[in-house]
Amino acid sequence: MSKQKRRKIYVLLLAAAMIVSLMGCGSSKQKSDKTMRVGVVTYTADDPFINAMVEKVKSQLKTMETTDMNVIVSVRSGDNDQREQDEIVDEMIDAGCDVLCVNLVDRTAPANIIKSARQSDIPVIFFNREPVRDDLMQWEKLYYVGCDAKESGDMQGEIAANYIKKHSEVDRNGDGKIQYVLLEGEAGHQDAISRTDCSVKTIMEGGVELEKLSYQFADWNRGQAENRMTQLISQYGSQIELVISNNDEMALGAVEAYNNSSISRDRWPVIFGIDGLDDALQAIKQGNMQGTVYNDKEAQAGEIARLAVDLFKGNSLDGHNLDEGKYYVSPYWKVDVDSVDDFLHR
Amino acid sequence: MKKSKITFLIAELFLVVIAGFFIHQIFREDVPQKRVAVILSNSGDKRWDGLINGLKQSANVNDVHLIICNTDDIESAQDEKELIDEQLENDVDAFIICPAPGEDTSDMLGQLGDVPFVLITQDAYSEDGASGFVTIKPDNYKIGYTLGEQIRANDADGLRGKSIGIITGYSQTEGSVSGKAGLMDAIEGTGCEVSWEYSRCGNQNICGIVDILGKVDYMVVMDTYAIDEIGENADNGMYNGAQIYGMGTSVKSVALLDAGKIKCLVIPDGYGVGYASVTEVVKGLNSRLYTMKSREEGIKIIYSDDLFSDDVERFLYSYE
Repeated sequence: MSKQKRRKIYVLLLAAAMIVSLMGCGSSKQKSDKTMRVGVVTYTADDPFINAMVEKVKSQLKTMETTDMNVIVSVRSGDNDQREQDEIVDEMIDAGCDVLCVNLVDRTAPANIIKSARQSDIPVIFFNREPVRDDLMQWEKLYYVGCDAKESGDMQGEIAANYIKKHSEVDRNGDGKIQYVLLEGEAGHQDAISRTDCSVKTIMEGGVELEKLSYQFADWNRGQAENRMTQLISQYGSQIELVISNNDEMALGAVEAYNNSSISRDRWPVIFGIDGLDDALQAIKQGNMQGTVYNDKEAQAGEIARLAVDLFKGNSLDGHNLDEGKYYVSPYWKVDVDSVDDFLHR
Repeated sequence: MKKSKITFLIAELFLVVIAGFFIHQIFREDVPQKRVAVILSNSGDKRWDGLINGLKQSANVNDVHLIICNTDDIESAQDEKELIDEQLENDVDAFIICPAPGEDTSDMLGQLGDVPFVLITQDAYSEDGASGFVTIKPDNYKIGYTLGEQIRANDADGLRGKSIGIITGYSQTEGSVSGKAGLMDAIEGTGCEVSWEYSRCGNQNICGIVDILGKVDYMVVMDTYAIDEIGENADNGMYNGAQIYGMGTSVKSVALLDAGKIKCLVIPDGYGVGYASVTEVVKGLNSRLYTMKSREEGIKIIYSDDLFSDDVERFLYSYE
């Protein structure tokens, strides 16, 4: 073999070795397409509605497992701290995640989450707490699944107005006005503001005259609402004729406060919530609450799961009928004593 | 002439040493952080809060990059192996693993080869005793024994003729087996009868199951998920007429104790387990000559009355 030929063979062998080693480097970093890893981050671990919804998302995703795709759903909470939630999202991305589902602590502060997800090309489905529109429009792989807070306030107002008009005994002092207190979620929270404003406005538009006694913020929480309501009861006694609560948890806190008070059952106010929690539905059946607005967690969980799978597989999203290609807004349902059985054990 | 040659050589040697020192310093700063993956079942669960705090603080002090894997329920060695393989592709240098239930887990971990790992919270299950892997955990036998001791100490009338129901986590785990063995040893000879035992698996409605199992005088719950659920539905330290004693690692367990819904709680030092495991792994990574060692972290017995003692408060800060 000539010297030139040998040199050619050496060069070819070297080139082949380089190609093989480069191919090796590429494959070691490849992610498995068999496992879909979904990271769910909630604003807190203590919200029963969110917990119930996350359980539905998990069970929906598990039903979508196939022999070609298994699903790992990892759930963590931001402990009511946006910075902590940002860190958790970073940790989840670092550990390997295909789709993120985020229930924001602060709906106006998703910037860090969006930035991290975008850098790693991981789609984000925000749920229950709607980010500001400008934020959602920043990148094409951002979506929102939830409800319209204003609609829930309107519906709560309609149920309350109908009930009060049909039951004149609600106006116990007979002054033609309904003395009411508000239990609000968080100060400055857009959903709390929308629900409160729309609910009160709709009741008044329904021909019921209202007189506001007081309002309290209870952080969407049953225990806090019970404490706040106990204070209100000690201040106003049986003057309170109506309790409007931004969610069922706080409405149930109000029920607890009355249970522990000296006010007899026939002197209780009428109490209305939002969400359609199982406990609230039971309370309506027992007559401790008069109505709620059912937030369709089943429909939302189903949409989150389907969207996550389609995003993971790179399928078309045409079948999802998303508004502006980004929004899935499920309708609310009114629940009172006549319709409560349709929603129990749903 | 000879003297100046020696001076020259010493000066040269001195310069070489200094240059070597600076080169070492420069390259040391360029060394990438070691990557340690942590595998816990349901890693977002609140029962891991103290442990994860310990892991993170130790990782910070020891300058390692910690990856807390995204997981849901790990029910078998196969589930755990998939997570391990995935992280091996992710170029991790070592693992900290809460072993999956089942007999296969020891074999699966044995196949990890040269990759260093430490088991936490419990040893890998083996019918023949200890697995031999490096394990940092509480003394799970002592947890069960302590709970039995507390029941004995608190029942002035004696336990003869009384009944106990036992709830543990997954059955084929070292934690469940050791905890139960400790409890049985503590109540041996007292005349107290074990009416039923139940091993929780997955996301079960534990109260519904306990309701079916029947009434007992004492319920010993050695599983955080189960004690949180039973405690939530208990009244005045009793569920279905049974006094509740248990082991819990979540803030919720402590809150339930504070609210009087649990009679007595044993809390393992999760923070200590997390902190020590990272330290041990780092020692193993930094020196090939170092042999990693197993150790046991402490436990605390807490009643609602001593919840705000300095000692207990300090312990609970680890959850913050």
